Amino acid sequence: MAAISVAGLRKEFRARIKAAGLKGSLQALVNPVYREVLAVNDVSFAVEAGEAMAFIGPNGAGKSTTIKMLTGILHPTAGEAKVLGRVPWRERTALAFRVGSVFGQKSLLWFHLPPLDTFNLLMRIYELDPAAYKRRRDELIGLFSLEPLLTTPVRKLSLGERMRCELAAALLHQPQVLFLDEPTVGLDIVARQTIRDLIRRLNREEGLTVLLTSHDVGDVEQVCKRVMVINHGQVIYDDSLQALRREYVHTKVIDLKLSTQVEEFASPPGARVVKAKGYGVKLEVDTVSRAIDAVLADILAAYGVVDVNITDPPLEDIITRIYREAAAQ
Amino acid sequence: MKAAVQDARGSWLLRPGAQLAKYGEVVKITVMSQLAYWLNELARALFMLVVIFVFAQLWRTTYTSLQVNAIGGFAFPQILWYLVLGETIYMGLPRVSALVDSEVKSGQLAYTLNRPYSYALYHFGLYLGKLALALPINFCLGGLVAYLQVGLPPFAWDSLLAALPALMLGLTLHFLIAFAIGLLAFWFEDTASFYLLYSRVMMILGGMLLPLDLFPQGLRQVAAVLPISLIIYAPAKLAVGAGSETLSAGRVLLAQGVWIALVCTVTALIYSRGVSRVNVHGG
Repeated sequence: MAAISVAGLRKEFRARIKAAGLKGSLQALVNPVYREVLAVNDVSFAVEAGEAMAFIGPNGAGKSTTIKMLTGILHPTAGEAKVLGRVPWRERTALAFRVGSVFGQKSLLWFHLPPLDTFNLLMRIYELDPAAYKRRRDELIGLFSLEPLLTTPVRKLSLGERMRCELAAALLHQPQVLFLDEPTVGLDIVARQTIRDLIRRLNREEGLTVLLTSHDVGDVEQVCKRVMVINHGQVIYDDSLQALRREYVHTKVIDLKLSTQVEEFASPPGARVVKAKGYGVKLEVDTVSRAIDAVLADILAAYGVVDVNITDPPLEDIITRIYREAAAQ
Repeated sequence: MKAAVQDARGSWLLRPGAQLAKYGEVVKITVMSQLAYWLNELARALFMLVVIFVFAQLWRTTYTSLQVNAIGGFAFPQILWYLVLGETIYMGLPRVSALVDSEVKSGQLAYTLNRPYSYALYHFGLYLGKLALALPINFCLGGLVAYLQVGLPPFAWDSLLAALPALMLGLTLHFLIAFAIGLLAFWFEDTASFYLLYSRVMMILGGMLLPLDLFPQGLRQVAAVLPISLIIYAPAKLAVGAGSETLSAGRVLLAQGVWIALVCTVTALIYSRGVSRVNVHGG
């Protein structure tokens, strides 16, 4: 069953334009000019219950506008959407009881008070039964290792600690769908990993449906199985992460450690040297023009190899390519 | 049974207790947050000591030089305690419009819209929480100076009983006006000038600087038709029980009720139009 279903969603808005300088300011005052901006253009997709989907795209692609429509904040110009069977912009409050949201750059917690006080406020706001709330709160405290943070004012927590508390706060009312907008922005590597692990765990163990937007490819790779790319308000890719790799990865990277240093590494046909220094050589192989085993056989025949490592190019490169291709079109 | 309870969530009709608890908790957490930096609150309120002391000197000189016992129906102790109440209210009013203005402009409003509470009532909870600390502090400090100058306040129990509901309704009326001014940020770049105008009118025609009884007849008539006099002047005068004309508590409460209904309707209209502007320009 689809937790989120979207069909032909479209959002246009008017933006005021003004020429530079005093003359432009006066003209805008007397005769304001607007331009139509198409933020979301005929977007359709469905997210199954329990699925974790990454919703990515460059800045201004339409991600936030789509999420704001799915949480009922914005009304679409055209199209339909249902979240947990409800039309978000018509049943915003009823839906708010069943969905959660974490915005990396907006805090839900009261800055001068310990997280526990915000948790207690949320119990009232979401009208939770006190006993059930305590059970859920203690469960999240254990899961997110929040015990030592509970009585410290939020302003004294590190960003990583704060984000763990933000995430727990968004989950107190046991939402069925969680919208995450840049949940790891600004975090260090360890804190980022902790947040990803927690989201993945909730998705797999509690069946929480996750819709994640992030510019961090690590979030996408480690949390989601499916990825949807949006650009200029349109969906330009929607499939599993595996399919994305299959479809877009036409190259492999070979890292070699040679037994002797060579002056100039002669790359075999179908490969090009990316980097060569001392005993190490990094090659990129175009697997469409030549099979990886043939390239490897050439190398082994010509050089003494101590170690070899074959990898896919980073996901970041693939996504950059998708953005560039879309921009070129 | 569980499903029925879940469906009723958010309803004032079906779960009034849960709704009251919700906004009551907002008041509570605001008080707790204010207490976290009580020194700032106290420092802000210290100005009350200066203001009331200056007023005391000014009015003592006025009464002495005029050689009268009452001006506009107010004896010296009555006018000083009236001013303590007026300043307590005026200086304790939280910055509602500035907060709403900044939330509208920064887009923070959009992030609060997807929570299951009313944006206006949430702000009203914040407002009451801030008042719960500011009013007693202001009154204690101002009252201390007044007590040292003229002795105990001339409040009769029945006057106080009439003044308290008038104070509550007056503060509600002010909240609605300030909230509506903040919401104008949907259309205007800066609403501070609107609030400045409103607060200056409140200072003079609202009876903060001196009771309206001391005003010329024409100005008094202008003030009488404005809702502003119902925020400071009416509750302060009811508490002191003085003045050239007797104020009827019933009429004050009725006028406050009518104005609240009126301003509430206008504010609701501004809010719904404003939120539809979020729909137009958001994203």
